Amino acid sequence: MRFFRFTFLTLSLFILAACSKTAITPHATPAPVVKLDPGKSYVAQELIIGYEAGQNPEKLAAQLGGSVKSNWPQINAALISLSDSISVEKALSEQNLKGLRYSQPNYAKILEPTPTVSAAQMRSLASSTISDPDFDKQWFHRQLNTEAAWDLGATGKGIRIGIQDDFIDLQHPDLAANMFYPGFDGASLSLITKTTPHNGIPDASHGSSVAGSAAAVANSVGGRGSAFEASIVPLNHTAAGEDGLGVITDGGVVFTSLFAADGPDGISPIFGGLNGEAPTEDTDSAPGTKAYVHIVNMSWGGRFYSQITKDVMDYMLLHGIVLVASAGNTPDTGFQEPTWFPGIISVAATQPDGGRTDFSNRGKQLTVAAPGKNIWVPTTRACTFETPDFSSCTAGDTDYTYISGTSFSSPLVSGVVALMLDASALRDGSGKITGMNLGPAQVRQILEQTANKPADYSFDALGYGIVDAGKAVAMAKDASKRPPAGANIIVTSVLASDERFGLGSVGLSLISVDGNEASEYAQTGFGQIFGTGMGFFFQVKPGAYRLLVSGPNEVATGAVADAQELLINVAAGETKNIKVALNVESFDDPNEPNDTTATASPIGVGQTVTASVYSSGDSDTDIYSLDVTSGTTYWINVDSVSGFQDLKMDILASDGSTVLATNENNRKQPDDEILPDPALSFTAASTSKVFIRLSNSTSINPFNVYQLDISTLAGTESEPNGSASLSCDITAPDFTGANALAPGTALDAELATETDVDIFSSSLSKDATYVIDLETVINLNPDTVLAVFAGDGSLLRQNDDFDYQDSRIFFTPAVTGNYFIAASNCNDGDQSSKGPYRISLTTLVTQ
Amino acid sequence: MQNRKYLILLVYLLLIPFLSACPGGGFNGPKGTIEGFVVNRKAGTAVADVQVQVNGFNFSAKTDSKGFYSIQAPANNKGVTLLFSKTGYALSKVEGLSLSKDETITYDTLLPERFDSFLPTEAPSLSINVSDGAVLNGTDLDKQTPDAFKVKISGSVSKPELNGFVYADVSLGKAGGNSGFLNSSVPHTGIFNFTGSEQEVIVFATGFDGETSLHFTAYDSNNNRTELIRHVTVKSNVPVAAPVAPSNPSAFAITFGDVGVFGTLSHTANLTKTLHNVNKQKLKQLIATRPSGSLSPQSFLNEVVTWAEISFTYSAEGLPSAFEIYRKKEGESDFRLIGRASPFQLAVFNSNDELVGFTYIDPDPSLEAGVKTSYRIDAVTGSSRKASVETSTTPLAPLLVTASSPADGSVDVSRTPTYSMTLSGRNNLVFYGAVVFDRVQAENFSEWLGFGASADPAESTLSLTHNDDGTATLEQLQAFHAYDWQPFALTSNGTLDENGDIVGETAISIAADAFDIFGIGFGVTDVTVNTFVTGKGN
Repeated sequence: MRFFRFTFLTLSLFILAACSKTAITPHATPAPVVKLDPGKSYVAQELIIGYEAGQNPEKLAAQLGGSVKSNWPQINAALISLSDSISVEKALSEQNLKGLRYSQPNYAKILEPTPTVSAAQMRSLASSTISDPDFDKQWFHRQLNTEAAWDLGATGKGIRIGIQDDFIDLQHPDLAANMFYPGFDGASLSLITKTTPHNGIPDASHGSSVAGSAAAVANSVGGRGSAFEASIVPLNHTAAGEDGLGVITDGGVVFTSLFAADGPDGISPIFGGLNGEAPTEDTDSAPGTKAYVHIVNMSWGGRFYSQITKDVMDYMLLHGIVLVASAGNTPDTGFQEPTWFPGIISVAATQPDGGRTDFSNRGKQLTVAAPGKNIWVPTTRACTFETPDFSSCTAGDTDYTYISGTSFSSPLVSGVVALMLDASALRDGSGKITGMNLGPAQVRQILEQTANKPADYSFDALGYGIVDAGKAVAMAKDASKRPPAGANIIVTSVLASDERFGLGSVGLSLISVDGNEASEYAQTGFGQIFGTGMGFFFQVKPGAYRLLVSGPNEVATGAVADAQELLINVAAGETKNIKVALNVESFDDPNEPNDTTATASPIGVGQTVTASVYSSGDSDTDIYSLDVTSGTTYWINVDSVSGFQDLKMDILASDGSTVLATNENNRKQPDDEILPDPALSFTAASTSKVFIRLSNSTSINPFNVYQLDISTLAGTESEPNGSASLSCDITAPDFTGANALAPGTALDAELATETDVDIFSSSLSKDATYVIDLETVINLNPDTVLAVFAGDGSLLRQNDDFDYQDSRIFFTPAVTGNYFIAASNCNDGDQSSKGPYRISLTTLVTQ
Repeated sequence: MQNRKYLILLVYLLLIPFLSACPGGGFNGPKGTIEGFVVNRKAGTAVADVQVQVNGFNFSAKTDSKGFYSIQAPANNKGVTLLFSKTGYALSKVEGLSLSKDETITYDTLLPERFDSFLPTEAPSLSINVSDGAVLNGTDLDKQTPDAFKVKISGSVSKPELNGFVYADVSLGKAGGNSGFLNSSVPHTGIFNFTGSEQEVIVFATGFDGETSLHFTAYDSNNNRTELIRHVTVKSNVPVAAPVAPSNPSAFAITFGDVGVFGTLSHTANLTKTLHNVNKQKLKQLIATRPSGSLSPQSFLNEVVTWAEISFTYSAEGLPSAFEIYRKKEGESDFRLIGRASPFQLAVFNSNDELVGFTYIDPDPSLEAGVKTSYRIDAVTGSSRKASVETSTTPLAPLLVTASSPADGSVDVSRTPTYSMTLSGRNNLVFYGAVVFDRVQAENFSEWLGFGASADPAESTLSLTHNDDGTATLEQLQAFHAYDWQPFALTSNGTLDENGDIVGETAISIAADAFDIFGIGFGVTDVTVNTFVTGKGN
């Protein structure tokens, strides 16, 4: 009997043990809350004991000062619950009890690290109930510490954030209450008001998400932005492209930027209005400020510097606007505008672990970082796309999306800036804002000094670190912690030989002497917004800098100048004006003085003279005299070499006043492009002297250099006159049938097809420099290419575009002999053209 | 006595139901094996030490250093579910695998890092209105979608108050994904705004005639992934011809030094092979608007994606129903089927819209640097098939480039600088260069594109002196002026013949190429650009 019982028990134990080996663990059963012994990794007041087979665990438990909580007879073990009067350590020390095989603490299983704050707790941390149902999906609030900022009373109320972006869904339930009107549509150049419909561009949803990141409304819909009571001023910079999708235009950027400063009345409190209004007539700046908006967010950018973009950014900074821009998503370390421009806060993107995102741009130009991945924010509603007048939208349409990009990091920080401006604003007795206490450089420094640096921090990835809204607002509120105001450096570059002339396209580099700041870069402009020759570093940190001045851009202007450097020191709040006079090689017109018919410079057939439209006065007229033979047709052509002249040509009779012919532009081009130079074919009615008068309608400038060619029109080409292979190069020419072209003459020709190549042959002397010129009369048809070949077919010279679409070559032969000139169109598979042109061959007059 | 015996027997009998109900290690039924690779993104990096479990059964395994796992699972079961997990990572789940006794099947998966530690690491639950064994007829829906069929999908995430879906995909043959290019050889439909509410999805049946698998895959915002598999029979109605053997197969492996490129912003496979034919006219100066970039997959600066391109031609009057691609890695005994697609899916056209051939993109995670991988293409119509000859490639290791000098932020740099870079991971040939711009304080000038080649495998520091080929815009950079430069570099397993032409190249690895000078179709934009200011010079 005993034997059987033993066997039965043993067998059943064996089978059960094998079956349940992995199902039973000696650890705590998964109770909802496991309380650990303070400072220890095991459960408080519990013990696990192993007992001898047949031993009653209850008896052992009582001896140890507890009772059995769970018994596992299959393995002869039990979980003991100890009374409060005995500690685990004490119970463990009782190892010599009869029937006790072992005892150990009930170790807690190490689970995956749980967040120290649960989602439910997060909500209860807010100073008031967070009404927005999707708040917990907006992880960025946690990383940005926005709730701490709101707890300090900052909400962004009264602060206007210009969202320079594509068209916002103005009536989105989570945006509408914060929209501030009027805004501006930089595409249609009209105000955006409360009743403006959506502009219908089918991919315009970016702006809604950017606006929502900054200032989505606190309500019972969706989530909320970082400054949930700030005002959103819509600044649309996008127009419909050829395919109907949105394209950011320069005009869009320029006009919305000017609007951000000047406001709907169009009057700047600094410069006045375009119609001559005085600055004091401005009516719509934000209280106590010099601009319509406090902040502009720019979640857009380009890879190349653009002067007009730099100018309008400087215009906004001059008006005290805080500019915040996304760093870019390339993710390289190279140039991005506008975010690289001096004075602008550049924002990189983070993910929840505090690291940068895959796409976030890197490098020395960063300022700070903010969340930029899986950002849950409003998006343009489907009903808005369906009916731009919102007629099909219902209250239930509240489209939201997850979206990623530094495009969203930037407005999150714009919202934080709004919180800072709100917290630090100057107010009257009733609490109304009457001015700002922080300028752009101060805002930037507060963000930098209060940013968080996570474990794997590097400047290259996160700039000064991840924005902490709570700390930034706390510092903004504290007048004793105000950082020094920004400094402004205004550089005016002028021509040393005539300081009336500002020099545009001069490269400026500001290198901090102590190496603690990233270098800043700028270029002097050409008078589009500010005076010619002016370049700016606005809102930079005070300190000592090397200013490196590179001279006008050699590639753009062809000018060769000396380069200079200066050591400068700027103090907080100082605006330093610096004039740099550069020695630029400029052309000295050998034909001057020739402003009257009496002093006209003689010019002969077959000559090309070089001159400039410049004088010590305000204007310059150049007059040449030409002896003409009755019945001969002369081809009189002007080609600009450099500068911004806009010349008109008059042919005057020998009396010096009767106008025989006039031309301003030899070809009609689209209105917003540089106008072509004048040219005339003139048939002399009598043998006499005529005058060629060139007058200029733009301002004079020592770099306004042009050339004047005189030839006689000898007839028309005769086909076939050669062939060649084409790309935008002319190769493998076949000279068969080449037409003779004598120096001093011009021929009419035409590229009949896109593959037509016309070849001309000329006897040229090694003692001369020849000018071979092509002139066209139809815009882009043809877009010419010109080449000079030796008799053996080897290529000597080539030109595609000298003057817009027209080609021009200067050629000094190495040996006297016969040369071949080929003319065709730039035909490389992506483009091709055809049409009439005129070719002339003259000799350059050198003095 | 007798009663006691029966009592004992009775107790034993009572124990038996308890025994058979016991789970886990005691599984005695027929088993098969599931094996495959786990990577962190499409065509990405292996994830080691991933815990793999068969849901509801006590089978588990771990991935090795190559991300490979092999696990036993019950055979003849109604759909095996595997769970993939690792600390710090999301959860990946697949439902609906099926295998027969002693069969080994392959299943590869993606296991990305979890996005946010506050979000649940739980796989979404998905449903589709297609059951195992269903027959799906491709029909001409709406006269606009030839050969398509519709399915209804829905799903829910764990903790919707914190979490949401970010992407869903329905595909045939294997799982699809949000990278357009890397998934271009998989017939799939992606849904970028999937919310979980039921919606209808159209899938194209072209090229599938017979038994295949339908896959519904979805990701939530924490990168948790669920894939449902249904074994179905698909009927396509596109007219097809008897197959002939595909000709001129060639396999080419590309190790691409930028993982951020492949996402919603990617291209489809319309490949132009102008490798190493550095086309200076291609250097277009674009003003780039910032994309909203809603689903860029995670990337790190030195990580790469690796894929193979299997190209072939087909000379016959009519096209077959489909092409099937078979692959065998060095050390494997047999070719195995890795993909099937219709001729239209794989077709490549030139700029005149003429069909020039077919290319299959293989982004599978089992591609390994240094391991020879062979391919074969079968043309299939119904039960007839004709195979091509074999072709092979051996993918290269990642090539890394550091732009050493002029360094970023350097000042007083020579006006004719030497642009220096160091490489690691190079192979026989390296093609490299420097792109120099004047765009930091000037409008849009490309200053120089310098180019060089190196055939010495020991050479790891490469330099180019400004304007060494005479094509720079300025012979000498302007004094006290800001410029930037960036390297581009590619290594190849080919060699140069006596004419200087590349021969025997079947694999390349690109470290940097922001302007797609090498003509892949998109650039490796994850590069270092160094901005510097020249000195006064002489």
